Amino acid sequence: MSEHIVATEAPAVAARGVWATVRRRPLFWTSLAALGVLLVVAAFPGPIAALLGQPDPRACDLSLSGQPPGDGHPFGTDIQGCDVLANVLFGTRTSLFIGLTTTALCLLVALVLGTVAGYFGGPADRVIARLTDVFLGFPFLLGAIVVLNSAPERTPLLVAVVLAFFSWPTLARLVRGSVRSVREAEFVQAAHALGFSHGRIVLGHVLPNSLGPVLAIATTMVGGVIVAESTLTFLGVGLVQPTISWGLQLSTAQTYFQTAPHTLIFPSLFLTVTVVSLIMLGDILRDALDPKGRS
Amino acid sequence: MTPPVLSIDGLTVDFRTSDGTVVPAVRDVSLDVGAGEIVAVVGESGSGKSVTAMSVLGLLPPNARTAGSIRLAGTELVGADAARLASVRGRRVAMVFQDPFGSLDPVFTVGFQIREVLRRHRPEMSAAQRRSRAVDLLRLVDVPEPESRVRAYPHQLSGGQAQRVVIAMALACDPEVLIADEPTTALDVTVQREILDVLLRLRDTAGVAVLLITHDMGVVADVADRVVVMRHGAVVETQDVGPLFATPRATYTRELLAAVPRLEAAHRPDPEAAEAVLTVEGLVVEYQRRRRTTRAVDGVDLHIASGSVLALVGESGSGKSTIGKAVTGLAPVHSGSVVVDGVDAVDSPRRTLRALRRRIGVVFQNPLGALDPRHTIGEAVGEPLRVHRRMRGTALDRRVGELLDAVELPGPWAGRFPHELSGGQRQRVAIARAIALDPVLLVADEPTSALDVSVQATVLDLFRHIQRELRFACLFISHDLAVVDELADRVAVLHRGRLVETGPRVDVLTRPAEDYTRRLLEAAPVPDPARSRRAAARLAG
Repeated sequence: MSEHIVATEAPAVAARGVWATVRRRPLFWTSLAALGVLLVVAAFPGPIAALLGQPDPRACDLSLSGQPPGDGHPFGTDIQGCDVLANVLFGTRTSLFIGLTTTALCLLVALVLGTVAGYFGGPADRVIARLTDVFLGFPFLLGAIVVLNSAPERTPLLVAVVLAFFSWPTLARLVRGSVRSVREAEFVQAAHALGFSHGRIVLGHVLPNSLGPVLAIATTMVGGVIVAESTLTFLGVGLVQPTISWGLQLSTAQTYFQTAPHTLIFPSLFLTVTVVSLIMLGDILRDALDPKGRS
Repeated sequence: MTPPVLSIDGLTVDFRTSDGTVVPAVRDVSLDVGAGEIVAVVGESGSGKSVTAMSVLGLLPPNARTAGSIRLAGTELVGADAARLASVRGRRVAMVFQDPFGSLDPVFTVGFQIREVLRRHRPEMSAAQRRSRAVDLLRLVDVPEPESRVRAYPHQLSGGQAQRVVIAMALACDPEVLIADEPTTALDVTVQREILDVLLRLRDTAGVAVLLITHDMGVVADVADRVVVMRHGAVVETQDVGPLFATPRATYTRELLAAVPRLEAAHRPDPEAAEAVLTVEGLVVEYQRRRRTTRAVDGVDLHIASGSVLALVGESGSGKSTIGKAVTGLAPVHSGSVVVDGVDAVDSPRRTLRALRRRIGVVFQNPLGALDPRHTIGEAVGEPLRVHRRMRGTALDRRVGELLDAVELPGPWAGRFPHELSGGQRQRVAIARAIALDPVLLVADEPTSALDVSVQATVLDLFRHIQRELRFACLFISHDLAVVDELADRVAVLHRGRLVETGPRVDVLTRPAEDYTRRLLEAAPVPDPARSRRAAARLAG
């Protein structure tokens, strides 16, 4: 038998850590670079806007309302005569903050509740399933309007928390289903039979194997959240002026799409780049964390 | 000899993978199947036997390239267009797959599904004709009460009945060739025997040419007329069934035949008497689903002495796996007692139970499923040591190395992932992990039934070797009596959750006291055409 094994032995195993794998993927660097630029913009919108023409997003000139891209205004001006580029740059911080914070909060709640429901099942599962039903059945806009209207001050953090409050159930259901299917796997049974504790089994075996689809949905969720913020803002219960966000710009611009399309196109472009980069990064990380995708 | 119905000549199939490499699957395979003849294609996994069968119907995935010739009574099928293939599929060549429940649509009655085949291929038949034909077909394959079963849904049938329905569907249009891909692998031995009888009768009465794909030499010996042995995509040997078993020409065939476990009930020294490690008394396991209670195990008593192997045999649904789960704490015990090494494994504080689990090793059937795909095999083997013995660093690495060495795997493989190993190697990893904590009791649930025979033989050797060396008590769960014969000291036979018979191996396997055990023994396929045909003749006479 030993000859048999030696005969089938593969060539020396190369180092195949997560880092060694992602390093070789050009898409990894592309998406990382795009997100890096967005983060720098979010940190220092002023100096960058100054470099590209208009440093102040609130220095508006109504006589230049709805100008197409041109001298001094590389992205043109919006309906109030404000520089679109400056607004997009200054909106990056708020929008990224809301998108990422909401998703992170959702993920946290969904992972905890979904794992408890999926792994332990029984009464815990039934309670959590009914809870998600309540949240899913509750009209999101109505709930958001009630909560946000009763808040004394509507900061981006509050908006993020409210958005997360109403969007975790779908993710929690996904986690629950994913965990349930892994829970039935033989290696989880084997871990039970070896006398491992629940904590060890959940953190060491169940969660790593059920995260794949959850992360894929979570990365696409960021874009959805940024747009949802704009919906709330459009209805007058989201962010308030003078806050600047992509969502605000998009909701203003949609009315004037035919006369000033650039006011819609440029913020959407930034939103798209953000979402696509996150999705690509998520995909690459998922592949790299799966040993089968690595070798 | 009459001209063959199906003639495969120089068939070569390659798969092109996404990164441009070409993986050869089948190389220059030639075989003929005549009317009224059963030709068996045998080989281990990866031998290309299923690819050969699929290529007859053009059912290969789109990245396959096929060359050579497949002629069905003069019609060339390699490179045939969709229309010609459609005129052949189901009408002239029909296929039966391994899993009957996977082949039947759960939302339609079996009668509807048979009539659907007729609607597609025999549009000239009236609805009433189709209805009576469906009943006739079910009668042809020995489905009891065909008039009422025609209205049954697949989940209302047993596995054997479902496979009969699948065969009936395949026969709906009187095909010239029936391709059966492992048709009995998912079934119990007693049911397997009945399905094989149906195939034999079809060959004799309807003159169907049968291409039987299987890995089981017992099935081959039982029904095949001619045998094609395949390995690594090529034909190794083609012979009539008698000469193949009596005087195999190819070395590989000889190895394959030698690896098949045989039920010989040879005498072996009994292990010296020792105190019982596992004592099960009056065990009842009930599963509750909604308001319904199913009793999976009903009043079973078992004893295993230290250093001996008790085999638990029975067909699917007999409760044998449930007993293994009850011992390891994975099944709800309703009443009765399970005592492992003096500790009550049912009613003890949680801390005691967890400590007890460390002394029970478990090996599961599916070696890929039992290993976390995200952990290297070193991590998998080392995890119990890390958790329960708090071993770290070089001490841990050394112990993992020793364990891999004990299961004859190279130490440097510790960094590999389960998917990079073959099935047999994975099962060795599972065994290494199970013995990592020096268990007093090892529960092995069908540890070799997912493996090829030659691999199974080496894993069984290893298992026996380790068991003798470490002298743990072993509860060995299996449906394969020949495997049980090789390994066990005592045998317990289960049927529908009750213990039918228990005793020393040789007694149970040669002088069974109960009818059920006798039936089980008679149905077990014997890899010897002379003996199995005699048995068949005796049944007929």
